[in-house]
Amino acid sequence: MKRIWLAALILSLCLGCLTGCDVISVMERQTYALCFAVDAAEDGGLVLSVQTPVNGSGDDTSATPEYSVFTATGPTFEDAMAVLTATTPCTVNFCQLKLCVFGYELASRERLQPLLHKITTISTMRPNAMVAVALGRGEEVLHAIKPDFGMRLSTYLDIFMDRLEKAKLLPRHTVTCLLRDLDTEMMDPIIAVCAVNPALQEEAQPQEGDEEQQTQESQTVFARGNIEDEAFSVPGALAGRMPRTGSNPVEYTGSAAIGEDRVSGLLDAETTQTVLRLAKAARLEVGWDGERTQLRVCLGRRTRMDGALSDERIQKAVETLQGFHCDALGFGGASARCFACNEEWEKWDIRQRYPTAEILIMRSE
Amino acid sequence: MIAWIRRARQTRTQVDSPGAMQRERDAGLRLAFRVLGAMQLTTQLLLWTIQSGYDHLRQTTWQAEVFLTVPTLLLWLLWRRACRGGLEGGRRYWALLLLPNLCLDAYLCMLASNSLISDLIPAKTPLAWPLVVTFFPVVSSWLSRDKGAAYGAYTMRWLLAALVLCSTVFSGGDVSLERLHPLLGDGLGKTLLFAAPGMGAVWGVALLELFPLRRGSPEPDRREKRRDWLFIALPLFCCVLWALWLSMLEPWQPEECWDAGRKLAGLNQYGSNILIYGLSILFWMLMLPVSLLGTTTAGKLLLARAFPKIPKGLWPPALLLPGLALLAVSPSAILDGVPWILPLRYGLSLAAACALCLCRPRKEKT
Repeated sequence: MKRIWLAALILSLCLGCLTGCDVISVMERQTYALCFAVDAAEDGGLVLSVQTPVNGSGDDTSATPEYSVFTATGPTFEDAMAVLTATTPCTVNFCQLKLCVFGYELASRERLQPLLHKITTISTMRPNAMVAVALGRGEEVLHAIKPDFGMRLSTYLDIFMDRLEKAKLLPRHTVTCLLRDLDTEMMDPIIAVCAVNPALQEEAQPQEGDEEQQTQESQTVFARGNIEDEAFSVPGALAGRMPRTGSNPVEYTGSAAIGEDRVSGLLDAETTQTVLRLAKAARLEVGWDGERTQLRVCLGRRTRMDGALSDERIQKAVETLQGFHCDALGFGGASARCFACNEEWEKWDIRQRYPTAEILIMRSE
Repeated sequence: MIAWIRRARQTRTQVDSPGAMQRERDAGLRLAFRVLGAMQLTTQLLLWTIQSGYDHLRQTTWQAEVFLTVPTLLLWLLWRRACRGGLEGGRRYWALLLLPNLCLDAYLCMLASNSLISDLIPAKTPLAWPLVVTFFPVVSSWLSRDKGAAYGAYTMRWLLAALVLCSTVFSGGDVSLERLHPLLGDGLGKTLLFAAPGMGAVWGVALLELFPLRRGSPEPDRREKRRDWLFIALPLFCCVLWALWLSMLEPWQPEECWDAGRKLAGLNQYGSNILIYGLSILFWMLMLPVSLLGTTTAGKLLLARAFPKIPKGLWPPALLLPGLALLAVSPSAILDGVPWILPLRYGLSLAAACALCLCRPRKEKT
């Protein structure tokens, strides 16, 4: 019995060390980053931006939470993080991170994989944070971002992203999943795009007639019922160009195609929806005869021929992806099944054949 | 909890005499010790798979695990033959050849625990977590009975098996079967070449046969022999499953080096369920201390038999001190500096088994 009491005493003394409860104030002196942006600096370095909630005072009766953005510049990622750490009053904890944004200039110029790897090595980094490319600078998006309907930003982002993901209008790649998809030639990911709509940021109010027309257009776009089942068909719809009004100027529609580890082009909402639905519904095959390569998209009997998976939309989507050298559907993975060894597959070289391959759409009877 | 642990000591079959009850209890205790040995084998195999195997083999890591079945079975059969003579007389000193293996196993478990806890809770000083990781097994071995680790491992067997499934099959990540292709990877030759160092992780089959020799002489039981292959098959199966899920979920970056803690928790960062992530951390927080306690128990058993006059309580800290010193000076000294020392564990285990086979037990004069 004495042994048990002695063991309990020793364990309870050690619990403080194990759980880190020896200094309570450390938990309170932290701020939780909700959004994180990486942009290219003018002199070739990097600009890191972090958006965190502002802790309200006791007298503040406003129901709308506020957010502040901290930025830091450095020649390398590590230097910029060191500057950020040294200049923020509280420790920044990334365990609640919802959105990680890359500026378009940086994402189209630099390889994403090393950047993503550096982001994953930040201690407390949340691996399920969503990745997006900002059409413009990520810092501007962070400054402009605000939740609608008085929600908290984290709740707003979760709800909105879930809805767009279910409607297949937005690909949802997390930091770790994107890192995984970039490490082989099995497929090239497409990642979400966000942008500030300049029309909504302008201080001048639109004319009455324009307002009515915009309202009518927005009603036309969104009054059709459940967008999750409908094929999206507003031509050229992309974040930053949506015909709408609202208090939140940041939009999240469309996607960025990744080719050779960099952003190589933009897909509008219609093409994004086609690609994402096709990725779920289609079985892919690859055939070749010498240098001639054929990419086969095989669809089942239950796939509708109209809407998002019509032959025209599939052809257009795949050709667009070929133009961007982005194998978003995963023909690389389909071709890997045809070989026994990595060496033979790499020698066959899907990357070289993909842009000029012939597309064949096959439907089961 | 204590009642639950005590139930592990009770017999499950009908007994009709004190002698039968004692035999059943002894059989249950041997089973518990074998489970402890199997957990040690599983831990070492998983640590090799996650920290070394996947970095070189990628989609063929699971094939390397399957290839390791052959040397595992060979070594196990040799140890079964070797342990028929028990550990009496001069034979007990040959078993001391396994001490460096135990020290290396303890070091690897302590390194993994230290790295994992440091990732979760940043330490104020570099020595904080190594001391905690060493302190608990030493105190546990002093305060518990000799059989405590075995009964504890036996009690947690289903929980740990369920946690393996939660960390792999039910992790909820976006599993991609295509990442297993091309099936042969860089070729069978390369797979075998990089699977060879994994043989160092399977030396622990020796403990499956040594643990039941607590009292020195073998106590064969026909009923147990039918289930013996499970103590090899289940650890290998767990590792094949883990390797498959690593290949299907985890990015492959041979040029970048994540630390041990990040690699251990890596598999469950792809699911959206925070509960599954927590359960995978729980798996390692249970498995690593159990394995460490198994190491100290095995060391205590071998050293106490060889040097009965020295107090048994001195052996656990003696086994853990080299690992603690390495963690304090340079945590990854062995992994970076002399990685070839880890596969040597198989050689030492093989040498000890051969020596025991050749050293016949002394027959009693009638």
